[in-house]
Amino acid sequence: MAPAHRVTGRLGRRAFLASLSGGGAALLAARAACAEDVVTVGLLLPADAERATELSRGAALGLDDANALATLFAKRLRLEPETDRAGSSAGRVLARTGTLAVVGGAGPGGGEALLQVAGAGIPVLNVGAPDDRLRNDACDRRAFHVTPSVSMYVDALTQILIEQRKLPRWSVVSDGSPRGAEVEAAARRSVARRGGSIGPDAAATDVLLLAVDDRGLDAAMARAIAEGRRPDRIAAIGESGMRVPAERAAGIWALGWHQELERFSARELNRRFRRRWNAPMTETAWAGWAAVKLVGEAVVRAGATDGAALVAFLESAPPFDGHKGEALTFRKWDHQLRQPLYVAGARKGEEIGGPLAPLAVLADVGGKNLDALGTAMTESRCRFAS
Amino acid sequence: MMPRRAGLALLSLTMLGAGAAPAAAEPLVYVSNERSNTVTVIDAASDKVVATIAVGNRPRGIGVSPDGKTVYVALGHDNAIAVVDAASRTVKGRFSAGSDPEAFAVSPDGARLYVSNEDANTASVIDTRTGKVLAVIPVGTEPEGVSVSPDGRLVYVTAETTHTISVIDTSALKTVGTILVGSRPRESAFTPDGQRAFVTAEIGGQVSVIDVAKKVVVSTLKLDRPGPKPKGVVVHPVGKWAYVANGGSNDVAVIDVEALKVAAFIPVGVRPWGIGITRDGKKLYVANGVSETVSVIDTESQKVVATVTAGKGPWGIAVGR
Repeated sequence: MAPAHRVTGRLGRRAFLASLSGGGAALLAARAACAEDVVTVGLLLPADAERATELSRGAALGLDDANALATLFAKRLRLEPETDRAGSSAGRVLARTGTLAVVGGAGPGGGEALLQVAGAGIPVLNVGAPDDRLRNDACDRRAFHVTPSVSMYVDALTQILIEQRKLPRWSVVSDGSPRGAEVEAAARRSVARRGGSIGPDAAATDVLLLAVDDRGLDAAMARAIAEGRRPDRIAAIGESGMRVPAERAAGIWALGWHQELERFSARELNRRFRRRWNAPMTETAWAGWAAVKLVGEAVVRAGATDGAALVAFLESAPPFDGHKGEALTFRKWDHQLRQPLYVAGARKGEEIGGPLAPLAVLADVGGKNLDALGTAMTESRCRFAS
Repeated sequence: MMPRRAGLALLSLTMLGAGAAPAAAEPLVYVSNERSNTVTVIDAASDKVVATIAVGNRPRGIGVSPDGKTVYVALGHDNAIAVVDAASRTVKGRFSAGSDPEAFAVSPDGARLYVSNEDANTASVIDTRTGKVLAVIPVGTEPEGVSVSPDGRLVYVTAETTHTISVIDTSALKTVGTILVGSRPRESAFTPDGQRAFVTAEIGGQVSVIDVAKKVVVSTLKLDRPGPKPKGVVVHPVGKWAYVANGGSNDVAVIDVEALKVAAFIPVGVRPWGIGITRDGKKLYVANGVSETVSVIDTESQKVVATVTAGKGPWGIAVGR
């Protein structure tokens, strides 16, 4: 059903819009005789070209999947992308164009840009900002978080490293950034909850956690290794570790998706993405796919044609199949998508090279108790305005 | 003269190998083993394994011809359907079946196989006499489970990503309807009168009940278990009960077909997926993929009466004559 496009390099707006037409053309032709209800989903892209391309590609595949269903019921979704550059009003543009929802949040400041759209009354799906703050003090009832939170990532690490691998003594290196502060705060809660401790002396601990902004993670990892830390005892969150060449890959990372996942039809999703784009499905791409598909399900299952209906549908906790083996639902207290996460580490020497990702999945985390990851209802500082 | 005991032992050894099957009054149950590339054959009279057949790479979907003489096995890594002679227990041929065949259904007259092609979003129709592909029919995204109505007129194909049932008219060989069901539908089964069908939704944790004539969902049964993940489904030959294998909660849900209520849950092994029932309705067989066993359930008492060791990763169940 999806065309075998091969797209490399940055996906500009024109190319992006053109790429959408191929996948839907056959379906549009088939349904030319029937009037369709067309729903617009805004896509707020980051200025960073690499992330923008990943998000665009994921959203485009999500659009294919959403329309494979929607067009069967005389509905169709379309994406309207805008790039959020410094000083631009991309979010406001999307909020004005009759969009049902806006998908965004990736890149520096992406979360704030998305909240502005929510503030203008449009539901938003966060696919790139893990900030705990957006799910607590700065929460918005119109905001739904597909991407995992800082706390979820950190909980995934402690669950594996403390509970499974019995490495309870941690130290934290922070860069003083807002992200770093959140990672450190999450670590203090999570490590204590699992009976571990955080101490000042990095040399005397089992695990060193990098509480560092995304942009500084690569350098922080290299520094820690140069200082003599064992690479498999340096932990960090997010997909930065997947963006380095295989020979430099190091550390233990908490991830929301991995291109080599196979179980629960993850293999089929990864393959479809790779066939469509000749590139691996990154975590950002997965989140974009999931967000657009979620909107599609709201349109078909609940007939959502306005923001209130979309919010009501997502708040009703419909079970979403994210190809992670569990029903993914949004928590009612902070609108965070419950989901399994993955802990990945550098491959062994003989596995390096070829088409494999730099990090290999070591463990799935979450399983039957998805609320063990992230902020519990009793701890949440989110208070939605009615 | 050979002592009687030795003679019986020799006869048993011959039967347990790949040799010819003796005439069986009770049906044989065939279990596809996804990771050992074999099919386990169980004698339903004794619930003992009587043979293991090497079939090909990654066997999953399995079905038996109406006369019981042929067993078909989908070989996902070989892009083929193995054709197994039930008497000799040997693979006598293969049908080319498109990319990565996982599941299929045998038409009631045995003349066709309807195969889902997950990679291609299609269903293929194969003539069992010639092996030729008669049609390739577009269906939903990531198709999987296939079932045929008892009169052979309709085929249902589940689609995991679009959460739909594609309804295929077997005369026209085209889709004549699409029904939205629960999240990630895996399999379906028709009642013997053909009026209703049950569809399992693995992520939705529910079973949709379809009015076949109207092509609408008339009831949605939630399975009140923690993370049930329903997969396989089969209906009792007299139509009173439907049975659902819950891969997540490791049990079989018993559904009262008339009342449309879940009546019981029967604990079985770990990750039950494939499920089949004998033609007299007395026994259910459930393939437990992780515990690598087959649970045998007496449908009268609704209890497990035997547990049979299968191969690695038992996946599908087909019950022969």
